[in-house]
Amino acid sequence: MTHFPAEQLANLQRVAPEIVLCAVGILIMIVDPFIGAARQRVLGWIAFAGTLLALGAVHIAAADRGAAYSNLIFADGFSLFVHVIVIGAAALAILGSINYLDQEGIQRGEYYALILFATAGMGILGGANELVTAFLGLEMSSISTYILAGFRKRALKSNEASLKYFILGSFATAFFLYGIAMVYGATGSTEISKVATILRGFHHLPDLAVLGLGLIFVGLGFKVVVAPFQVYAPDVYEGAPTPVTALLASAPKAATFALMLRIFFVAFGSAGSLWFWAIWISAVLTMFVGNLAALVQTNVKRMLAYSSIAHAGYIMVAFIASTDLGIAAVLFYLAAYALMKMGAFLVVTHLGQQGEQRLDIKDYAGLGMRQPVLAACFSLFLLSLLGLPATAGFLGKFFAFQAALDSRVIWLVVIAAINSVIGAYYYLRVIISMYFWEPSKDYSPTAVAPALTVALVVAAFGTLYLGLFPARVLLLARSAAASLLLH
Amino acid sequence: MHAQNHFLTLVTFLPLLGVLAMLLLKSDDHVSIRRIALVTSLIEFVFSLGLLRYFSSADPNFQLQEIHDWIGRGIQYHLGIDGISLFLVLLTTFLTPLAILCSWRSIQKNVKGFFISLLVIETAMIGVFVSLDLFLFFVFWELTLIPMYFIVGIWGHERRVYAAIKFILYTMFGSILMLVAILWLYNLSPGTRGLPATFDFPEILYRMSHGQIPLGGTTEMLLFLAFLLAFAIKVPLFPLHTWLPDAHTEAPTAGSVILAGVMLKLGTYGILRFCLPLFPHAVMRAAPYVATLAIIGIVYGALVATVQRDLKRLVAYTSVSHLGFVVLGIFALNTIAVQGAVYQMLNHGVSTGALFLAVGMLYDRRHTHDIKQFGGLTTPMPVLMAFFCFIALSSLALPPLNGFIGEFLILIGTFAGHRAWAVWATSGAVLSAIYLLWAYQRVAFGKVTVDKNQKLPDASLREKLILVTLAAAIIFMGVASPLFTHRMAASADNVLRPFNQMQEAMRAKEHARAKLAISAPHPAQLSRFVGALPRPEPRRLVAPTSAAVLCSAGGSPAVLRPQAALECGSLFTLNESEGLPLCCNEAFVAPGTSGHRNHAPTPAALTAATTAASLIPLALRHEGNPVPPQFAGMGVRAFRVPDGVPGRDLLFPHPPLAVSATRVRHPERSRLAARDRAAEGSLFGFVLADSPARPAPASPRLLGGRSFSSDIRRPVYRSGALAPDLLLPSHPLTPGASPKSIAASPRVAP
Repeated sequence: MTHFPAEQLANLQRVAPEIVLCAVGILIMIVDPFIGAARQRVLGWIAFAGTLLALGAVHIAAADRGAAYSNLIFADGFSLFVHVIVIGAAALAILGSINYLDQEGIQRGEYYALILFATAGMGILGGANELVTAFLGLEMSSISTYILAGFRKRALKSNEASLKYFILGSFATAFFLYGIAMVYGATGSTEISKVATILRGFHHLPDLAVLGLGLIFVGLGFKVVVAPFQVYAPDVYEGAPTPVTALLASAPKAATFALMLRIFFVAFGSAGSLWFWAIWISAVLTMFVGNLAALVQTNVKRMLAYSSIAHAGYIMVAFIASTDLGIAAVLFYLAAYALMKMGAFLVVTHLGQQGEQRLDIKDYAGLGMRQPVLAACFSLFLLSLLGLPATAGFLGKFFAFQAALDSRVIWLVVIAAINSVIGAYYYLRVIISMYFWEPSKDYSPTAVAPALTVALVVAAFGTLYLGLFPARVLLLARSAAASLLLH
Repeated sequence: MHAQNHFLTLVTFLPLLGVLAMLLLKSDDHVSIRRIALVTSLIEFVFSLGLLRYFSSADPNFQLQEIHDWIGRGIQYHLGIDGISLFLVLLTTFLTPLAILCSWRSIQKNVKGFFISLLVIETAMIGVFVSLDLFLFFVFWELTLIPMYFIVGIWGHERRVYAAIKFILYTMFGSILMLVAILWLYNLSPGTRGLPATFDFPEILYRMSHGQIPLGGTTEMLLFLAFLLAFAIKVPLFPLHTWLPDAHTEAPTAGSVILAGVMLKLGTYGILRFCLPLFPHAVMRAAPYVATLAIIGIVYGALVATVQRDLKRLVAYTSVSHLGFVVLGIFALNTIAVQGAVYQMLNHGVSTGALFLAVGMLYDRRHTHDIKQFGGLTTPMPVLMAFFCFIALSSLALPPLNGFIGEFLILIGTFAGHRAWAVWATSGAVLSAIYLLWAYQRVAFGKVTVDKNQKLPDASLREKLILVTLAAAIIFMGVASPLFTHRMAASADNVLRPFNQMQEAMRAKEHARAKLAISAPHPAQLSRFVGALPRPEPRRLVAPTSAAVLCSAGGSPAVLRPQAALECGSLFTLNESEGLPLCCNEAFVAPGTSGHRNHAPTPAALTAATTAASLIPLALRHEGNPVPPQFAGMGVRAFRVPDGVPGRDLLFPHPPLAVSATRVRHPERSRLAARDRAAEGSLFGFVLADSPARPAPASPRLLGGRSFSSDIRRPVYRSGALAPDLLLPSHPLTPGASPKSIAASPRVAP
């Protein structure tokens, strides 16, 4: 509203990461036609540089925190934490894509541009303080990922994934939009902090707001893949190009959970008793559906897809704690989860080989003997997903359980604990295949490309770092949680 | 804080240095890899012997402690040892070089990975024994699984994959519930004083033993069961043992040695270290059941071992039997038996480790474990079979070898308290002679039945080295047991301290009951106390249908200001678990009838309460006293006033005693609950009138729907003031609210 230059500057500074991401994305689109088909991979590196710049921009945004554009969007600790997760995930996904696209013969500039736009959208989700802004972010990230999911346009499965994702995703965003409308109808505002103030004035939540919250939960539940809105996920994750799957499984989940946290705890902070059982039941369903279905998968990509459903369930366990401890646990879990899931999918990217043919668990037989370092990396990610101590995944679960127990949600924790043992079986099955089975004859290992190596090393190092020395990140997560509850 | 001492850190992580060195080597340089592994483990052993030098056997506390901040939120890097963990660390470092030596030739596939796994598992196991932070403990505990999983799965025999996955899923299931219990304990750890929450084991123990973390009976039992499940699977306790025969049989020799020698001890160690001191009351209650399972394990393991055709499976089942002895010794809750249990842990590690090594040597020659494939082996291999015999004798507890000392201590310790247990367990000792000697006879004596066995080479130098070392250890532990036991005595006592205290308290109470004369506090003190009590919200003055009296037992009746009493009484009414205890010097009466506010007590409640005061000395003297008819259906109990009740020490000097009379709905359950409470010392006396055949009172339910048998140690009071949730009305009561409506309303979150 104001035209005061200093204020304008501050506004720009607070959305610097989005500006950088979009600018680099547009730059890639512009440069794309001028670069020969053979050298398109340069664009990948530009996109990667863009993500690094965006990480730097997060730093700039962190220097002057606060609301931008008259409270449309926040650059608070919470938003910045989410930014780092999604941008980091995007960077790793880009590194994993460069060689993959060459190998599949679909090296195109718009792929990277779309990743950057999607990331910008997710960044907006993390900071949005206005439901309509959040909707914009959601659409921006969704539409980009719909296209990305179908990027292998000659592969039938990829087309199926894209279409399925698009149709069901549109429904979900529609639900979300309806939810916003209801909330507006009930409170006369779509600004989250104002909605919070208005709702606090009511003795009983107006029915319209309750309905709105329900619709919002449906819409966002679809994006974070919790039961009963998970049906599309395995097909989409299986069909999408693997680096895109890696991105889909980690970044949108983090961003959407962030938005959920903001809506549930800030806007509807007083409605805890209202959504407690909805989330409880949804969490239990999510964990069981994810884990039980993953048990019987033979396709590793599909198995990891179900595992990411299960992990959404564990995150809900932290979510339900509804304390600052719980929010911090959600954030920590999201960071840990992004690292390990990204790492696991990137290994799958490499091992899939041309046309993503080698995805069956049998194709991993004897990998421990053939490519010991890669197998060790993959084992690390799998063990972390399983929740073995000294890895990030364990501490994620640990803090989630701790937060839930702190809020006396005991049985859900017990159910989650039992689920994590069920989950152990299918992760270990891959390890069995890699180490205990004899290598198959027809497999000729290919060297891991440097870009992918960097990505894997970062993910592996991050997984171990968060597992052994989580104190710093935990502190950041806690201050992020505190900054969220401040509003 | 103690001076930082890095010795334990060094001992724990030294094997990882060897791992680093091996990682630098090429994976086909087998000779160097083996040498590095062996040298590392030998240095580690010598190094760990240094612990003996620094260890002071007189000190029952944890020694060589090291504490650093690690993650925050009460998670620390805290190491330390006592007399129990000291020897288990030594056992680990002693067995690892032997395991490496025995794999010298037999492991040819992926040699590097194998020795790395062995050294990593050594670090993890030592870590379990030395960590004093529950979080750190859990990390090491889980880390032992993965290397063993690989050892069984990669280098094992035919059914290795099945065995490996069974092993790891079984163990994980147990330990994940332990993790929940650890977290729960962490949440409770601030206790009544609101100290910072912590995972630090000595700190939690300290708070618990000083009554700062009052656990309810059910909570304690659940926590205990969660810990016990994890440990019992590891031990393994019957009927959770089914993973063990598979894992042992399918593992390579070194894997079996480590598995049987050390990893099973993680379970028994966990029980000793955590279950006993943290949850003494639950342990007391559960001891008969656990001991029964242990005895079933002893006999069942022995019987199943007898009929095995597979030599390695036979040895595996002996572990079920022998570890049953250890668990029995622990749950006998007696110093001698516990010392025996710890000693037997070491013995079993050495003897069963040795048995597996010997079986492994036979396997190296014939590649089978089938007893039928052997026979008359003494002829081609006199030396090896002589050692085999010696090891078998040690395992079946022949005096003066090591096994005898442990089993003997366990049996006499158990016999002192529980004769039947000891008698049953002894049958296991007899059976062990049968299965071991019979198996040895079939393997070693007679004619050589299989031609291949005619020309088997006798023990090589490397094998002789292993066998002589073990034989020396067996003899040494048999004749020099005081060297071990005097170092572990103080720690064993320490573990049993809560139980000894309970017994002493029982004994002291017996004496005290005879001369129960305690001076009454000055009336001025009393009224000051009552005046200091916070005034309750008047609307909550809803009294139950019971009456209660607090008295410093034995004083003469004197009545307080009625108004103060009323407030006082109504205040305590809020304590759901108690019904209605009321503070008073001599005899005091609760206000009364249900459904009304601020009313005088009903005549029945009045009579009950006043008579209770005179009745209690009676009750204390003899539980079976006849009860006056007006007490029909009432339970009267005298119990310890919980810590933290304001004015407790002032009002109730020795012992802080309160009496309450409550209408009892489930006489049998109440009687049992009271017996338990009496056993643990929080309840002094209990009288339960036989309920005559008359209709139950119109509204027998007490506040919150709880009746008499609920736990009386619930942390209702906090130091200094009553808990805020007792004072703030959590739900607005309408003036005519009946207790039933209170019962239906949601419970106040603690």
